[in-house]
Amino acid sequence: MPGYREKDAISLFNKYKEEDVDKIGLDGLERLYGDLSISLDDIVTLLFAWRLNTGTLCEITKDEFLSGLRGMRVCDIRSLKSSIENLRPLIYDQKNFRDFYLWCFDYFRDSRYKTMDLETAKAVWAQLLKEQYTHLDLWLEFIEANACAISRDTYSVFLNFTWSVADDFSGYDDTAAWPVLIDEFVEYARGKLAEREQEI
Amino acid sequence: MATPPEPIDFKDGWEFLEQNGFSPLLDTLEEFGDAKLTFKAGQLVELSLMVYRVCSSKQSAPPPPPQREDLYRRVEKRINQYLEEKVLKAVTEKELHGEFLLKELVKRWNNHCILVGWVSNRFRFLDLYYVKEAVVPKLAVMGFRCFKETVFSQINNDVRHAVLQLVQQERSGQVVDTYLLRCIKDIFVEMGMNILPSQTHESEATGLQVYEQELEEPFLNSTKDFYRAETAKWATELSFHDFMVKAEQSIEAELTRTRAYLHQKTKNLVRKCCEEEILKHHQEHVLTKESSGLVFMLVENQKDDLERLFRLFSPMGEYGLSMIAKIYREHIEAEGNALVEAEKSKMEAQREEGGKGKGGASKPEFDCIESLLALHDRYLSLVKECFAESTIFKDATKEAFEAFVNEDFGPISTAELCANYSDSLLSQNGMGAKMDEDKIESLLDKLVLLLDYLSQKDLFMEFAQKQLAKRLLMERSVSQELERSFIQKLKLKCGPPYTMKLEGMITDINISDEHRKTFREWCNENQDVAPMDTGDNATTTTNSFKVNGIVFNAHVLKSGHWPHYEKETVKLPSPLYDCIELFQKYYCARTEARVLRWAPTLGKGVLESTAFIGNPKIGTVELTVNTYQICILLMYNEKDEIPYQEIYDGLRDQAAPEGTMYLDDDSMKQLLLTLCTKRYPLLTKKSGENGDVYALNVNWAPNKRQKTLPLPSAKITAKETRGAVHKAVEEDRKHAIESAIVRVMKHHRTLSHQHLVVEVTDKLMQLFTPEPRAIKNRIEELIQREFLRRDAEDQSLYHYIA
Repeated sequence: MPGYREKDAISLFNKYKEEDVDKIGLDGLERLYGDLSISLDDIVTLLFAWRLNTGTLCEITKDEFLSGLRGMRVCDIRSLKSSIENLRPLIYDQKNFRDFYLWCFDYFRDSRYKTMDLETAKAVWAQLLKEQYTHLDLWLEFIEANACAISRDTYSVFLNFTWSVADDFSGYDDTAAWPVLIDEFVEYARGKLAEREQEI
Repeated sequence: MATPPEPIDFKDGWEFLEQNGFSPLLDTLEEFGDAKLTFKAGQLVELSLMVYRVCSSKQSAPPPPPQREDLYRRVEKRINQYLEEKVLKAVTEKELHGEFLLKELVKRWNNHCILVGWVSNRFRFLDLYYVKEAVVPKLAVMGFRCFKETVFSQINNDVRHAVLQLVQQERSGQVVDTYLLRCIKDIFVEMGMNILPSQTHESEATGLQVYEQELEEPFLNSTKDFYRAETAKWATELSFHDFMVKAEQSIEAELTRTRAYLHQKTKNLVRKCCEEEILKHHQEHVLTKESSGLVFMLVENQKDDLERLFRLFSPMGEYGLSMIAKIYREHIEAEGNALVEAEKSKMEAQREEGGKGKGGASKPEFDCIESLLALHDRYLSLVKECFAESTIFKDATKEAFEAFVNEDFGPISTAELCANYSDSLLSQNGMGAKMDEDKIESLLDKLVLLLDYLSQKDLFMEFAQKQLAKRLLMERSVSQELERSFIQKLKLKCGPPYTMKLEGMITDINISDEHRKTFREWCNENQDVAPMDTGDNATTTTNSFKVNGIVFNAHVLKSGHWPHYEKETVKLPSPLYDCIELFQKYYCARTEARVLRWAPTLGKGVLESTAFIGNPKIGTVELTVNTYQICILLMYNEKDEIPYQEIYDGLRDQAAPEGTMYLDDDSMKQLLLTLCTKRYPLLTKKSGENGDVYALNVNWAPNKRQKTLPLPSAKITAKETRGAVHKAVEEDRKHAIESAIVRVMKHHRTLSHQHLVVEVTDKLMQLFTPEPRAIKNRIEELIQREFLRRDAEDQSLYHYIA
């Protein structure tokens, strides 16, 4: 098990960094993931970014890179690949996933605004909840038509919603503390489900 | 007596007592039913003495001589013997039934009382010196016990049967001997007492057991059975009215019966039994009888019957009344809904007919409020007159009204209708002008009661505020007294914050009146800046006080109290403009840090004109017009015909800074229309190639010297305005909900969602009923703005962020 050697890590960083600034940009990332043979739209790339706690979309600064690798105790491409692959199971743990999910909000959000714009939100949800939430399609379809931006509160509570409410929405209580957008979604989805049932 | 009487042998002694005491006594009792004449005074003393002699012993030391017990037992035996041989035989004779049995029993009982009394007296020695030591009942008690065990327990079933039979006879209308029944009741009571009632009353509560079990309960059961059978007939055969009359009579009869020959404690039980069997048992059936039930009575306004209904059922409390109240409520609700529907379609019809709904079209709106008021009035007085203002009916009325008063009348909400109605009552141009103040006052009273049912009181206020502003500024109030009293009424119902703005407006107007005086004084003192027309007379009165030839007055209004006005302005003719400048100087001289923002378009004025010569009798016409109309009319001092565009431009100051708002094209045309109406043809419109031209109609013949011109959009009925009001209310509600949430959270720091919603709703109820979702929206907004924070673990918990 190779440990962490600052020198190797720096040379690894330099291999991908942009010419004039000390950070890995989109181009560098493409090369890095190419060498790691990981597809760019694989969720694990996000997990890696979360692990490095990168602050800016599609960018890794030198500090972030080095301290991240130090924490993972790796400094060459092969061991980095296996460490990254090891991140995958994290999303099956609710607590870890929740932290990751909330981190994504700030990571993808345009830092000028408090809310996340609709297109980004849809993309994030599509990426994160793809295999987790049965009615994701309905939800995306619904917010497309009924929302213009997503607040951090709604984003955060939505995860609880996907976890705790039954797939047929039975027992959903719209007088409870759910955000109004979710209340409206349940109405919408109930209607849609009923329609589908009739068709069958 | 010198020497104490000698003790005597028991046998001899008893022989004497039997021969001279019991035997003659019982004989006379049998014969006359009385014993007063049996003995002479001396004989009684002898008998008492004999008792003493039997009981005394030769040795005076304890234990007490055994002959005392012998004597006690002997007396008991003798009484029982008599009861068995004579009394029991007499009352169990075969042919003795009914009333005769009862009579015999009473007679025997009375005799027995005499016997017991006599025994207690003659054998007092035993009561005094034996009973306590031997722990046996006193002679009197023992005597009555004998009667109970030997006689009463044998025949009580027959007696009870006879009593119930007599009761039944009385119920069927026959006259029965109530005194006899009363005596029988007393025997039942005494049988439980075991002791003479005169001795102690303490044990009465338990002493009534015999009466309760043997007489009261069977009586109640028979009453129940009787009325169950009886009312089954009534309920199907009689109308509700007749049913109630019968019921009332029966209950009264039963109570009288109870008073006549039953124990007083039975009264309540009888009442309960009757209520249950007669009233409650058939309640639903008779109440809902189609052609005579409660609804029928309400429709026909049969107050006597309604009063009777309440009288009958109210002693049962909520148990008896809740069903009545429910039917009552449903009836009002149905009636109210029908009324709302009818008025709605009337208004719709009117709207279609009357096109834009201007002018006289306001009538059906008021009809509708008036019918609501009348309906409310009717039920209020019903509750007062027939239902003794009982809470349950008051609440039912309230609930029913709340249900339909909050229905909207098509596009118009009840809140708006109420506001318009109050405006009309309080305005010189409305209904108020033709009514005396007491009448207006009483209508306002009623209106406020109705307003209390509105769930959108804030909407009413929004309209009311605008309308009051208009009345005050245009000086169209019927009287300030009435305005104040209406505000006071609202304040009483809805709390001081509700009417704060209205009160502020009234205050502003009064302060403005002060300004009128002080402004005049200031002008007097500052003649150099204020060129004053003192006219012929140097002494100017307030009313004819002129600046620049104009009687000028400005209202100074605090912007917080008054509705928000668009910053529309108009280019004023220079004399008027000078007045404004002057007032500005005066005002700034008096106050600092206050800014006057002029709203000239809200003003009005009187123009004197000699231009119209159509009526030779009238030289100068006084025209009461608004600022726009003044500006337009003054243009005709220069020429007689003015093209539209010139008028339009004339009202605009070309040098004004950008963004200054002026009247738009449509409103301008409407405004000009008011000067070209049939009644007030001040101008005539000529359509030409280069647009319309308006010419002064000098031939107009006014019939009076003073004329008040109608104003465009005098009422807030235009769709845009209504939309604006609703929007404003919507905004206000957002703020109200937010501030309520913040206040509640500030107080609790941490609170669950449910509690927060309840408390916020509670706080706002006085103004409007907030939708739970609206509250949620505001909560989310406040989380977004970081006033609140959702708990990390429990998402239904909020924290206040200080």
